Parts: sequence; C-alpha cells; structure tokens
Amino acid sequence: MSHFDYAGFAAALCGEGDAGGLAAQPGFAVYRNTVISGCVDALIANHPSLATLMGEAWLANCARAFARDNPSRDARLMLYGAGFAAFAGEMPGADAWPWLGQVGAIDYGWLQSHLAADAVPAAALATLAADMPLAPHPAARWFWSERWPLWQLWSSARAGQTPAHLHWQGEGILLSRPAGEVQACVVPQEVCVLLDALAAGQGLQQAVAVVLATVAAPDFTRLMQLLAGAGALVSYQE
Amino acid sequence: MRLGAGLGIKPQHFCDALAARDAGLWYEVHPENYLADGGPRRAWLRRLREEHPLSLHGVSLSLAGPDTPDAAHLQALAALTRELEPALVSEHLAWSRLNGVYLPDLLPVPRTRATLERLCANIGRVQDALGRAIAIEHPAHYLVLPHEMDEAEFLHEMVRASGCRLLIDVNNVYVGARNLGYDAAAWLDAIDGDAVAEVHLAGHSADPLLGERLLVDSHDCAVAEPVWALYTRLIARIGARPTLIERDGEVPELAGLLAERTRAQAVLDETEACA
Repeated sequence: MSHFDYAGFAAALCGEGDAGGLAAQPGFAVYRNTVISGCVDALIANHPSLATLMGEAWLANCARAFARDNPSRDARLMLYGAGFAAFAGEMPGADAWPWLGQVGAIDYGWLQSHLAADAVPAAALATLAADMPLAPHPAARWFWSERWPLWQLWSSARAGQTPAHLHWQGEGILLSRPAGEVQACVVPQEVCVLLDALAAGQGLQQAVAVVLATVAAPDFTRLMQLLAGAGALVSYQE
Repeated sequence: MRLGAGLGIKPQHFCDALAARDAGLWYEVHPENYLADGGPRRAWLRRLREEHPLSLHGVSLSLAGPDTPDAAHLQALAALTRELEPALVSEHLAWSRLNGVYLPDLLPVPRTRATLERLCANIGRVQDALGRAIAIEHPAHYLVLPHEMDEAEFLHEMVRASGCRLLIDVNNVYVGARNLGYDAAAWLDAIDGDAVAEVHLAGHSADPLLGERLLVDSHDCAVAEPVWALYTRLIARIGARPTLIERDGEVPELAGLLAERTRAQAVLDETEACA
C-alpha cells in the first residue's frame, strides 16, 4: 500500500467505516478510545465549574456530543472548548439551569486569562477625567448578568461546592492576573460596561460617558479602585 | 551538566521538582501545554529551566501525516525553543492532524517508501524552523498494518535521510512485541546505538476488555520488570543515554517518581563505571 487512507482511518475513529478492515482489529479500539477521551477529558478539565454543577457523567456525555461536531483545530487542548459552555447550556437536562452557559463561559474566560500575554498594568487611576490611553489588560476577562448571580454561582462551583443560599441578583465577575496567577473578584455593572467600551476602542472619556448612559448611579470611586487593584488595564502609550 | 535520568514533569510537582538536586536529573514537558502567549505556566517553565536541563517532547506535529506541520504551531514551538534552549527536542513517528482537525492521539502509518518520504520532509521542516536536530520516537504497535519495510530499516533510513536522531521507548518496544508477537530484545538489538539520543521508560497496562492479549502504553503505573530488563540490556550495549521516566496517569508523589528515576540512573552509572 503506497497511499495510506488517512481519511478512512480518521472516519473509522468516529465509527464511520472500517478503515479497510483495520477497525476490525482489537487494537483499533485503543486509538478510538484515546482520541475520544482526549477530547472529553480536555473539555471537562477546562470547565471545572460545569463539572461541579452537573456532575462529570452528564458533562462527559455533553462533551462527546460537542466533540463530534466541534473537533479541536488546535493541538493545544488547554484551549479546547470555545463555545462548549453555550452548547452545554442548550443540552437536555440543562433547562432547569438557565445560567449554566454563562457560568461555563467564565471557566473558559479563566483559561484565556491564565494563558494571555504578559503586560505591565496601568498605574492606579487618579482620575477618570483625563483622556488617558487605556485598554483592558490582555489577561482581563469580565462577565455581567442582569439576572443571575454569576459570582456566587461560579466561585462556589469553582471551589467544588454546589451553590447554596444564593442571593438572586445580577452580578459581574472580573478575572485578571495582578500577581501572576488568575484572580477573580465580584464587580458591579459599571466595571463591565467601562471595560466593554475600552475593549471596543473607545477612549476613557467616551467609555465613562457610556457608563453614565447605561448604569444608574455608577460608583466611579469603587470602579477605579477595583480596576487598579485587579491590574485590569494597560496604558498603551506607556 | 551531563544528562542522566530525567522525569516527565507534572504541574502538581513544580515546587518539589524545582528544588530537587539529584545528580543528572532533568525534566521533560510536552510543549503543547506551554505554548501560551504569557502567564504563569510559561513563567514557571522559565524558572524551572534556570535550575534544570529541559527536554521538549512534542506530541502533535503530525510528522507522518499527509499535511505539513501546522505553521503557527511550529512558529510558536520555535519561539519556545529559542527561549528555553532545551537540551533535547523530540517528536513522534505518528500523525494526529487531518484537514486542519487535531486528533489527540499518536496515530499509526504503514512503513512505506511514501510514508518515509513525507516523514523526512516534515522532520526537515521542523529542524529548519528550530535550527537543530530533533529526536524521533517510534510508536507502540496495536495494529497489523501493510508495512513495506522492516522497522529498524525504516528508522535508520529516516535518520540517514533527515539527519534526525532516535528516541527509543523501551516500553513501546515491549508493548508492540507482546501485541504483535515479535521479539523485543531482537528489535532493540537491531537498532544502531550511535543514532540513539534519548531513551524513554514508562508503564503499561492490560486492556480492560482483552486483558493481557492487548497491552496499552498507558503511562499510568510503574515501569514493568521486563521493560527494566530490556533497558538494562540496551544501555549495556549502546552506553549511557539520557533516560526519561514517563508518567501521565495515576501520578504519585514526586518522591515515588524520583525513586524510579534513581533506578534508571543506577543503570546509567553502572554502565559508565564499566566503560
């Protein structure tokens, strides 16, 4: 055989065809099992809060279904699963947990923050009045929900605990790397709105105007403290 | 520092591994887990490199596949190699990528002239990008494939044509010999010792369904005694080579892995003492 049928072999790994009879050999299962478990294990490892909330068996079924239609195109499985959280949120059994996709997305945001480029955070903001050249730090990720207590849900699940005694309110989360490792903190809506605007390329004054137009009674003092403490901004002209 | 016996390193062992001072100790990582733009993983690897020699053992370049290595991945690997200046860089004689999709395994190919040509071309691309020779690990065998070439002949031809070195995985040899019914010692005896840059040792397990009829290169237990015997025989013949203890599942405390690694170091020390 001069030309090996790679496509036939790959299809047989997914249960389609027999790879010219190779799939009938007992040893073929070693490859099939390894490929599937490689995808499933990565998706579970990359979404620990979903594993806590739904259990590994449910999540493994979900991961198998996702991997069939969304194989990784990147050999770095530590980043596999963009879109998996939303997929999980649509799976049968998830309808009682309408916030599941949003909570799982924070897991993926944690990965992105963990692996993002290094950069020196901007110094503490003395004022928001100046037209400072600021942008979100490469490791900053933020999430806001009007309806769901994302911080309470995610932080407890991330710690391996089923969320209990929840205070049902809208909440935001900011992930950043002020001291090397990823840190998470609960943030009010104005932090997320400001970061959204800066990420969209707006200047600081414009971003503040967006906050004022979007959020009732924003607390800019707290906003400045949170962003500085989290190292969530970079000055792109420094 | 001369490389003796090393360990595949896991994140949970980072702090203890950094402090370990065993003579000849070095560490191996899969670069795929560190190809990040920045962050703590990359910082930790830089810190480890300050204290110990490193080896980058890739699992995803798909050198025996139908396509050329992923350009972005290769570029990132080259940058990591420049940054860390590892003592060794290696990859697998396998494929794992097709039409842009990554299949997370080391998939097999028949040993044909066509395979050899593609493989050597891809090894050449990697060596050009990295500016150095790499070592290639032969696979564990689970399938009877329509090979045209004997394995030793294929590997030696690959070394000659591409300028790469060999990474001999003694557990792969044992598993393949048991699964397909050939003589592991004779397989190792046929390998040109001058081509060998590194040796791997790992544990295997019996298939859950087929039992001892099908051994799996599982890396989830200690190195088996028959593999130690083959390793000792190989080193006695070819001389000391950097030797790695691999463990990817059921990972014990670092002390347990260091004890296994000490056994390999003793084999290397004894061979050097006799030389």
